[in-house]
Amino acid sequence: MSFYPDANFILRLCVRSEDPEAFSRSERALRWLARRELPVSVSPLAVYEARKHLCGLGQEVRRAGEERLSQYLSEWDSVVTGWAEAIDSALALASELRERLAVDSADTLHVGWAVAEECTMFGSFDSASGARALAYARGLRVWPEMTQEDFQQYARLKG
Amino acid sequence: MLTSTVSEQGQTTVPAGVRKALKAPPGTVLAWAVNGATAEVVPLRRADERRRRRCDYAACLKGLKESPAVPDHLLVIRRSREM
Repeated sequence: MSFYPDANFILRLCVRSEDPEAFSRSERALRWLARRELPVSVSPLAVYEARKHLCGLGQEVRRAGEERLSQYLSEWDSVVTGWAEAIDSALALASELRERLAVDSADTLHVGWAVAEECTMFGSFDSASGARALAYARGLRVWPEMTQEDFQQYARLKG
Repeated sequence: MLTSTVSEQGQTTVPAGVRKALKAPPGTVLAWAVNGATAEVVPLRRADERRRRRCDYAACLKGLKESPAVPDHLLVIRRSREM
């Protein structure tokens, strides 16, 4: 049992959003992580994407964000599965869902990685990409909880 | 029970559940101590041998609250949709 965070999830724990609602979700996430109910399995894809995105922010924000990221990574486990297994798993999703998938390559790879890693929970703040619905469709619990938008995406995936 | 199949070439994968239990990320060297018909698998050298630290999430949250905020759209890792 472990928790897989995608890059959007990680980034919002590193940098504060001006949007109070978005920030309150980050706050909730940090309080939940602090309870250490599940170990966190972080993929090199998620770390790369978060770091790459931090590069595009102002210097002060970037530096503080990178420091926080290092703090999280000091506790989180690296995934035990590699890129090849994650890609195979993502391609299995694509092959199964075919034209219904409509989730981009990297987001599908995040879900594929969580499945290959046998994680039980998937963390993402991005309801627009369809990754949360895809993870839910694969039997993972999604954190924060599924929204109406996620369920609409889920209905499309089910066809 | 976790299973894996030995190929014609005698190769097999180590199931993800076993690797997780052993905390063996890619690059870990596994030692197989064979005893009759059973084998004990031990991580001989871990790829990631850093010492585990506990993250102080409360301090991270405090720091996050005090840090400069950025417009929300800058925190969305937006990708082009492939339909």
